[in-house]
Amino acid sequence: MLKKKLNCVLLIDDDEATNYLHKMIIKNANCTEKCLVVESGYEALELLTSKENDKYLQPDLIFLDINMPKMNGWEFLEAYENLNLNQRGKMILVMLTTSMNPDDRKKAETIENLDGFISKPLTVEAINDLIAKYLD
Amino acid sequence: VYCRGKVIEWDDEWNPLRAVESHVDITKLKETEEAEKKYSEELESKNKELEQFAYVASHDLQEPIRTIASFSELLEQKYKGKLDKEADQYLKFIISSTNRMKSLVNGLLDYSSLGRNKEFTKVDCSLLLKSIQEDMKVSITDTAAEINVGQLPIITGHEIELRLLFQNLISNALKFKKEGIPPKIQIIAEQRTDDIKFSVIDNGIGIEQQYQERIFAIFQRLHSKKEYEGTGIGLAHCQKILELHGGKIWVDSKPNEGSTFNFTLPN
Repeated sequence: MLKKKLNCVLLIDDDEATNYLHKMIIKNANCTEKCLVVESGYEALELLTSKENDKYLQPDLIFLDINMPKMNGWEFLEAYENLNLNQRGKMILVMLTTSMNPDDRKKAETIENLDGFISKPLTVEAINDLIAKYLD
Repeated sequence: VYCRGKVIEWDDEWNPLRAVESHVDITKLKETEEAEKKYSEELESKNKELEQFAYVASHDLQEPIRTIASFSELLEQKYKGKLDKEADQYLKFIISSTNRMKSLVNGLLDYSSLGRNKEFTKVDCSLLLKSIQEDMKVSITDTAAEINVGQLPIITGHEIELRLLFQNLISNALKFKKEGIPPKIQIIAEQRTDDIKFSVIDNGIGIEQQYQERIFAIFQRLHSKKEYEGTGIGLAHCQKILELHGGKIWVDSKPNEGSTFNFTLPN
C-alpha cells in the first residue's frame, strides 16, 4: 500500500532522550518529509507564528508533551487556540503522555483542538493509525 | 435516646410525687460520632498506606534503579567508543535517565518522610547557618558567592527540617544566579508581633509573577534540564516543612532583579 507522505511533523517535548527516540520512530514510520523538534511550548509558539519564505510552518501533525517546565501542554493548548487559523497546524494535534492519568484523559476529551491522546513512547503503529484515521 | 429526670415535688415523708423527665433523641449525634470515628480510622489506614509507599519507594524501587545504573556504567566503561556512535548515545541517555530517576525517588522519599519525627527542640539559627555554610563550602567557593547572615534568633522547631529548609533556599540562590555575576545572598530575620519573619535575599535571575506560586508545588520546574539541573522538589520540601511548623513561605521577585524568599515561623 502506498502511503501519502506528510510534509512536516512537529515534536514538542522537553526531554532530550524522548525526542531522540521519537524522531527515530518517526523516521522508521517513513511518513513525513521532515520532522522538527522543539523543547518547550514557547519555542513551539515561536516556530508556529514565524514565517519562513513568507509561509507559516503549519505542520501536518503535532505531538505535544504534557509535563514541561513553565508552559505545560495544557497551557500550550490555550495559547494555540488563540493563534490565527493559518498559523495553526494544518491537521492534527495529539497529546503524548507518560501517565495514563484518567483525569488528564478526561480533560483532553474536552479540548476541541486536540485530536488524540496517546501514551508514550510513540510507536510506528500509533503513527500509522493516526494517519489512517485523520489524514488519508 | 438520652434520658434525664428530676423529682420536683415530695409529700410530707419525702416520697416523690412529681418529676420532670426529658428524653432526647440523639441518633444524629451518635451518627456523627460514628462517622467521625470511621473517618479517623480511614485517615489512619491511609497514613499507613503512605508510609508503606515510602518504604516501597526506598527499597523495592531503589534496588532495580541501582542495578540499571551500575550495569549501564559498566557498559560505558567497557564499551564506550568500541560500539558505534549511536550506541554511545543510547548509553548516555540510559545513564542520565537512571540518575534522574534516582534523584526523583530519593526526593519523593525525603518528602514523604518529612514530619514523621514531631519532636521540636530549641534551634539556634545562627549556629545552624554556620554549620550549613560549612557543609556547602564547595558550592559556595565554586560560585564565588558572598553570604551575609544577619542576627538570627533561637527558635523552636525540628532542627533537621529547618536545616533542609535553609539549605534548599541557599542552594537555589546559588543555582539560579545571573551569568557572570557571583551570587550575593543575605539572610535576615525580623521579630514581629505574632511571628518571626525570615528572608533569604539573592541577586539571581528572579521569577516572573505568574510562576511565583507554582514553584512551591512538587516537581514543578521553570527551566529545562539543560539550563538548570534539578528535580523540582526543593521548594515543595520547604513548603511542607513550613506547614509542619505552622508557618508560611512565599517569594517576592522580579525577573532579572533577584528573589526574596520569605517565611514565617510562629513565636
